[in-house]
Amino acid sequence: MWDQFILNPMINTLLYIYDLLGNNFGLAIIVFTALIRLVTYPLTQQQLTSTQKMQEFQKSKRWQDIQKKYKNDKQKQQEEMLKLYREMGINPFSGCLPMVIQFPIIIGLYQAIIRSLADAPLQLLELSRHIYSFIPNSLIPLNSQFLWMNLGQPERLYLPFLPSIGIPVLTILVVITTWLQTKLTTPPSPDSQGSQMTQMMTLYMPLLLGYFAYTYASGLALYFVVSNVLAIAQYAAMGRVDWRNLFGQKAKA
Amino acid sequence: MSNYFANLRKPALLLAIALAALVLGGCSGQGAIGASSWPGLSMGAEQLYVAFDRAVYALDPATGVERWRFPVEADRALSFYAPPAETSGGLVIVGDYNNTVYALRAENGSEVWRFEEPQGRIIGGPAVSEKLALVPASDGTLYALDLESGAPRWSFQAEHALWAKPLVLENVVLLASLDHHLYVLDLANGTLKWDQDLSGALADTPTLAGDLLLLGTFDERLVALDAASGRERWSFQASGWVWGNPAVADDMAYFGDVEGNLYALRLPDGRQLWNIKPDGGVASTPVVYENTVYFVTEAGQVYARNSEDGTPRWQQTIAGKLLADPLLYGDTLLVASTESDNLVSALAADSGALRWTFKPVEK
Repeated sequence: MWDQFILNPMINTLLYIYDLLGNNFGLAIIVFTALIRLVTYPLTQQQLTSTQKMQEFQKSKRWQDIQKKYKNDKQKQQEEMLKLYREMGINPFSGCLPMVIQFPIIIGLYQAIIRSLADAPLQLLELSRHIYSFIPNSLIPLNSQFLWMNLGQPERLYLPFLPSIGIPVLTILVVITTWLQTKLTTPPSPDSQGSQMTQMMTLYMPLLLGYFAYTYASGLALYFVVSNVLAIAQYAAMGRVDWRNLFGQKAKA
Repeated sequence: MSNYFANLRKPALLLAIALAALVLGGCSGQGAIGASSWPGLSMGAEQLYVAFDRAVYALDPATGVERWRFPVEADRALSFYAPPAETSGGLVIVGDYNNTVYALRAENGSEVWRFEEPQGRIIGGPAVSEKLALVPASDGTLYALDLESGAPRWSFQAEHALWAKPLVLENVVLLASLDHHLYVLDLANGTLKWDQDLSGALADTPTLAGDLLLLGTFDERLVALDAASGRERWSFQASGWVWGNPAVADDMAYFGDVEGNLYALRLPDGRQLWNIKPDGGVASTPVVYENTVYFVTEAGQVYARNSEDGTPRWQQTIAGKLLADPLLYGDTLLVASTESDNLVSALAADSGALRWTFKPVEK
């Protein structure tokens, strides 16, 4: 089911774009990532709306009063919270749903990139089972070179005057763009738990994605960079980027 | 992407990160558990070689008893899948996935020299001529190495990876490439004599059949070229990628496709005489001997069929996937499996009865 509904359509769309773009897999990843962002735009919007409503809820005087009033009765606090959710028209799961839907898309996209760039016999044999009949077989194997990178291998840039040291340029870009994205697009949280969470995200997400970029195929790192840049652009276009976060200024609550 | 995670509570976040790491790590093909290719099986003058995963093994072909292995101590950094080639001078040439070519002594597996210049894995088996080892690499280069010292004599650069063992014919080398081309090179210096674009990737060695060169392509065709000029004589449309090269006997060619078909064609004109679709992809080259065609499938079946009409002689089930080319040693058929405890199984060619199996013991 995963292959049929997620992976195969993704692999074949990627191959179709690759064919259209004159057999350039790097460009195909960039266009495909943009396409995915476009298709999931309604989900992103829904997630933002939901996050905003939840923030309003957490800042509301009534919720703070309820917390104070029932600080020793968690069950009653829970009941009042659900009542307030209903009154304010909040569905606590509506913020998670878009993420739950997008998570398989991200994983599927990565699998599609890696499988398309099959660079060993078993992987290539496996790829033959995922290709639709309208994709020309003459595309195989894909050209995995993009700029200085082999998209099927971890990326390192070797400069002429530093031939023995490989600089992981994409990894650095992944760390920077992930940090920027987290900083710019994560709204300030009014409570201490949320604030702690945001700090953790700002630190760990760039490191985690940077680790993936450093270790795995550079096609994935390219996807991370493009996805981060597009996310920042998308949020900016929606007026949701808070540039003050970059310089450590506290955003207005 | 981090925004998706930002709204999660701490345990859910950690779970999502762990899941992402597992899924990404599991499908990356690097650091993934399991083999990335199938065993490379080949026969020397007196022993059977099988390259798989961490080692190359030399076996007694009559009993399956291990004579030596290289390296002696398992090294997790190494992996071997290319079929080794034995020289008349008693060397075994083998390449690994760490871009290194080794020359070993056939008698005990000790290292004689190594060549570490390739920039890509050695997936295809080396070929040997009187003085040279011809090693195809996935960096797209064919390396011609001096057999005695391992020093490079010449190289030829193709446009994409080389996964096929070259074919040496008198003074020329025939090289099939994933870049869709068959290259014909001068054996003495590697200069290109002619090449032919076959519009599909070529993953296996060409088969010479009289004045024809036969090649399977990922364009789902078996193509017959004039061996002297490279001009196309005929082609046959299969139902899937043709990975393995054909076996030929008595003016017939036998080959399979990854969709699981086995075809029997007339060599003069490429006309199909019969075909069967048993169960699972056929990525390897069949063996033909005494009116019987032997072939293996990815589903783990070994088939012996009458070569004249495809009627069954016998069938045997072997655990695991059978993707490596089977070999015939006397009256014994040798097959190598992946995803199975037994790496090599030996079957009686006339009945399919199991004679011996080889299971590597960890050292």
